[in-house]
Amino acid sequence: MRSARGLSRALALGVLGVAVILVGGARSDGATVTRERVEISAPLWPDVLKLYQPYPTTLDGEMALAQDAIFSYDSLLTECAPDYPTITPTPLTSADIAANYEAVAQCSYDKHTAKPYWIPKLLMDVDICGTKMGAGWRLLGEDDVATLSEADFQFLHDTLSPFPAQVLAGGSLYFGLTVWLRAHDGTLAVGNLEPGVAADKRITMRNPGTDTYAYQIPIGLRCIRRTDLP
Amino acid sequence: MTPFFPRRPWTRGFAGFAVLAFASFLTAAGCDSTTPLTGTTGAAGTGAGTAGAGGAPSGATGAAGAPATGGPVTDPGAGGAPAGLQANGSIMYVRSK
Repeated sequence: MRSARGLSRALALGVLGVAVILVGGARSDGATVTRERVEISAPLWPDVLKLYQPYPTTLDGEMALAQDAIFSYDSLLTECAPDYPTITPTPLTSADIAANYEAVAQCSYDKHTAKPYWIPKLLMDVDICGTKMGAGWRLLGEDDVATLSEADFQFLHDTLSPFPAQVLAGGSLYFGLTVWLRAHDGTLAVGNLEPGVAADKRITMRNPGTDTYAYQIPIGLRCIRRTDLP
Repeated sequence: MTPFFPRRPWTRGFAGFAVLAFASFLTAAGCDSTTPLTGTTGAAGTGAGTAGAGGAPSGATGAAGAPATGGPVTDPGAGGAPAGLQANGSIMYVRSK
């Protein structure tokens, strides 16, 4: 009798041991690291002379204005290449890309009086990134800033830092890392993506997105696309 | 004196099984004979050059390491372009989530 009770106890313990092994194994296998590809676009720029016109009174009018007045870096690169010989249409090196940045910045102003001066209501109402950059692109968000780390901000800074001094000098105007953001509550904010900034200092301004005139301060419009990787 | 384990065949088999089960559990939990059971918190991935690996607990009861955040890497994966500035002017890299 006693041995039968002992046998059942032993079996119960054995089953428990197997369960522990299975649970432990599952926990180890579940620790999969997920990666994502992050793309942050070059700034988009509007033709400020078009933004200085009376602001549209309808959403369709706003969308038409965005379509007509805003240029992506990619489209400017193509448009400017024939007239700006320093542009390399298919750049291979960082030096090529830096030269392209400089030429595109100059060309964008020469041809389109383009500067990073934005009308908050236009940013608020129109999906400029989706319209100009394509599917998956959106305005950088306050949530994005919250999930990026110091290593990310350092990488952004380092990626832009080898550029020629004149580009960096204008960089605060054309290629800076002070950018418009979609705020948590759906309104707008301005964020600083430079490294070395305390987390609670990254949002430098909040904006309801209601003003219909262009802010003549250089705040970049950069888009982001985040893609999960296996 | 009564032995701790009565000398019966099935109890010897169970004892061996229990030892093996516990050893397997310790292995699955990340323990080995050289790591302390109290464990220490793993360091967060710093992400310079390669994707930061999350700090793993070094002992059975150690707290989990902070997750790796934002370690830009130079190769985004099969067929991808190198991280950094792209021809279309964008900045691209891969990070751990």
